[in-house]
Amino acid sequence: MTSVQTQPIEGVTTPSPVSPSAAIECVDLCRVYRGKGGETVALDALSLSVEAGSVFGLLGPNGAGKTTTVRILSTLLAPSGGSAAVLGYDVERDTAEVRRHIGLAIGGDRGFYNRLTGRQNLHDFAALAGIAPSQARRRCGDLLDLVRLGDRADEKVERYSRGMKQRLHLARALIARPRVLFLDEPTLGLDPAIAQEFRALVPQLASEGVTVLLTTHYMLEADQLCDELAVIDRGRLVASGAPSAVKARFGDASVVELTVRSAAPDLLDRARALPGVEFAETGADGVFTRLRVFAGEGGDVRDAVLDVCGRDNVEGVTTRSRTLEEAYLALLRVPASR
Amino acid sequence: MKLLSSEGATTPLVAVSNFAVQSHLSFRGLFLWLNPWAYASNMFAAPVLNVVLFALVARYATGEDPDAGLVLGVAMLAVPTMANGGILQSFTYERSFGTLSVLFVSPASRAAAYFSRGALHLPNALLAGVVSLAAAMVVLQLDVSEARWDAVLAALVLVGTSSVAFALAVGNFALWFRNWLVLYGASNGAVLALSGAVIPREELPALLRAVGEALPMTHGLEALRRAIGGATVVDLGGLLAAEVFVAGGYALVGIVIYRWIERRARREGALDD
Repeated sequence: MTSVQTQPIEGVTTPSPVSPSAAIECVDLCRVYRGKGGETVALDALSLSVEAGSVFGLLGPNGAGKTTTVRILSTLLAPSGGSAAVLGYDVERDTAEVRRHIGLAIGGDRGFYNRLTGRQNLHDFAALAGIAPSQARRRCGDLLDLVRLGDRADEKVERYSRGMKQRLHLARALIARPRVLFLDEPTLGLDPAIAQEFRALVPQLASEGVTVLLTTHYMLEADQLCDELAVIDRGRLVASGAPSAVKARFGDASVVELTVRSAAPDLLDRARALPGVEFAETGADGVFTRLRVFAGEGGDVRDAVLDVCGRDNVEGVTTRSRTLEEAYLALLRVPASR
Repeated sequence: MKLLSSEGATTPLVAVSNFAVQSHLSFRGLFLWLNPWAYASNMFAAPVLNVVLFALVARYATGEDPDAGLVLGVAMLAVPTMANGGILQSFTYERSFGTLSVLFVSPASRAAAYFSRGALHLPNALLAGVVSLAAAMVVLQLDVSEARWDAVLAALVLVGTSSVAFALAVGNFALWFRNWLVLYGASNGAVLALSGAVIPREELPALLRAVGEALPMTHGLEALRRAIGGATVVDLGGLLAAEVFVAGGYALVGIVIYRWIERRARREGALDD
């Protein structure tokens, strides 16, 4: 994407009624879907607070409630209970004010008039946002360049790749100069180079005072971009804080990785049965077997695992702390005990 | 480039300009007949063939040439048919293309968004009516020697307006059910059967006659028939006012339903797929 210089905010449209340090605040937010098959609890008393000007990541597996949260905060969906506010505006009572200050990129292939060009699609949303046509023309051109669609701006969207549509979603979300930006799986389907350029844009937005809430499956992305994150599962908050703090929740919880020459059929069961072992998994490593053992907090299981494998049977062994991804997976495996 | 900076507030001129932008782009983006073959067949071939077909059927059934009232009625059916086709498509595809969420998350005036979905279908429907009327004059030698053209124009425009308002109101159901063809058939069938276009209204049962009173085109068509016969705008004041009333009623009911659908969609999470 085009390299852009960070510049300060030059005023925003409407002042919020209060000046909250929290740009987004949810308290006991609930959402229940009722269908023929009964009720599905998508959000269960979710509470979180996102500081103004920060990048906040919402992590969780499919069906965790990430998109539901974004849809409630962007006023597309009403909560079943609890409350949520964006820039101090209640998402239920002050929907018009909330909409005036947010941008939403839901992502995916849908959401555009495929028979129209990328530029025309942006113009349409600029009109919906109340931007004067003369300003909209300039703004659309700038944003199309920013997301590197300038040379394809006058092609019909039906000819765009998924990655191009994803970038167009971002351009559209930015068109009304939002103070709060919701990005739902923003890099899903992007090739790695474009995804990386996309990620480079997020800190710039934050530096200009935009609060960014993004949902993602990619731990690396969350680690790289987010000032704070929340892990949710089945609609409940499992953990929250800075990425380093989430990792630190595991203290000196370690991972022992071994390359085993000849793995006995019951190796995995025996490793999992060891005291202090939280989880273990195996995988192929060339002609060898890789055994990965996750110790609980404070647990030193290295020697015990070596004994289980047979010390002469071990090609190599390393002990390290957990990555954010492993911490995240551990949170999802044992949410109740944490 | 700055990603943020404040720019001017929305003025009435900006609002009107943006209404025009929305009308234009939603028309081009959601009206799938807007390609040369589909447009030519629906705008020109279908109305002309319709007029000829009804004339032949009437001649076969009665042994006589169809009267001017029937020819005019059949010709004017092109107006609601074109309005229904275009607008019901727009509402259906707004949802299936996923642009409805984009609209609902925007701060746009819902009334402007709603009526912009019909704005360019009005001239489109009027053009279909003119083509159809011309076909009746050329192919079936419809006698227009007594016509008061200002009154004809007024009646035609009001038939178009009420047809668009009706299609927009029905379009709400297309938004909900995502099937424009069923509603298209039902709407066209109701207008064809109950507006007096083909079946004289005095031959309808009282209940159906009352339903016809509330349909678009019923009063405007009667005004048009009289205008072709020489009646002036002043003579037609009552009929034209009734057509205005019908159009206004559908416009009001339609926007109320539209807002209700948005609220219900928020409550139920219903318009995502």
